[in-house]
Amino acid sequence: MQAYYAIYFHLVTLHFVVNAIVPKHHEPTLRYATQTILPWFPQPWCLRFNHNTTTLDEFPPGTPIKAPSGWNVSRATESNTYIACFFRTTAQRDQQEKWRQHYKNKKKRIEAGPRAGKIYATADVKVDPVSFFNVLWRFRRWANYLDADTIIEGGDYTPHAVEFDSSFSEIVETTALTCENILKRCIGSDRLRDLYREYLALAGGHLDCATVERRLSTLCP
Amino acid sequence: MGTSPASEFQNYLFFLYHFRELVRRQRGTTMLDILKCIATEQAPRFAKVVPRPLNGKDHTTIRKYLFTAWNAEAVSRLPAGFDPEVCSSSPTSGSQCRRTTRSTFTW
Repeated sequence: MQAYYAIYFHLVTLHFVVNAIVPKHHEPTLRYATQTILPWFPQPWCLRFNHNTTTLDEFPPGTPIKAPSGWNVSRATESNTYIACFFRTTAQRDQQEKWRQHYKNKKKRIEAGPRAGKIYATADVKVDPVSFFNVLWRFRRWANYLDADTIIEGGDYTPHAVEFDSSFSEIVETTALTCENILKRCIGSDRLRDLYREYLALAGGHLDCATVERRLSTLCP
Repeated sequence: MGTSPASEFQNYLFFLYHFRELVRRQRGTTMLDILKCIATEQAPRFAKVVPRPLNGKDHTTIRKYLFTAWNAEAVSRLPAGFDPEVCSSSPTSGSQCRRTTRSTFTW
């Protein structure tokens, strides 16, 4: 949960630096990352899937969005293919949820296009593009109190639980770097260095700040 | 995709595994190498961003949210410093917590 918040507050900071407004809600903040500033991020953060048009952005040419059964629990699946398939299923979940919330058992009819006049089916519902940041939102909702059983029971096998933490930590560290790199462009290297040093002086004796120290030496040597 | 707790956990575990593979791909072997490589690759992508003028109040706000992000990151890393047996009792990662709480408390 805190890993999610680490990335979320980086995005809040970026939104403020660029737009002079502090966003107050999670979903629009993550949508801002996917739809507005995603091109500022390198691989693989810039990868994106548009379910409405079935198109992939920034994936290697020829990356499939469907894979043989079992792809979702396989290390052998090629990683770009895995991410594309995961984005697709995330979009499908969004679509299903949106249909349930806004169209199920309601008499809304499609207004234009070849299916004009028909009742909305799941496939008629348009959804936002999906990137790594939308998956974070999926994580956030999964990790809330209602789904706590998923985490506790799902992590029963200790090596998997340890791997989960370790992977997420590394992804948070590198994602933070990408956000702070943009921040450096907006506030200047000297100001960012001052912030790193101030934080390390305040928190260094109390918290493990190795990741912040690494980013200081990488971005503001 | 499955919806049982175990399969849902595995879906996320494997997503993290593959995303990390892509983060590391052709970027070096140490974390410092990877970070430097990412920073260098990323720079041209935001080179055309024109920063807006910032005043003192803006800098205070930036500090507030950035420090909050760093605090959250530091807290998220706490389980990494524990023995795996202790680590697996954290609410985010394991069964020991469930067993301990069930044997200690009646809910």
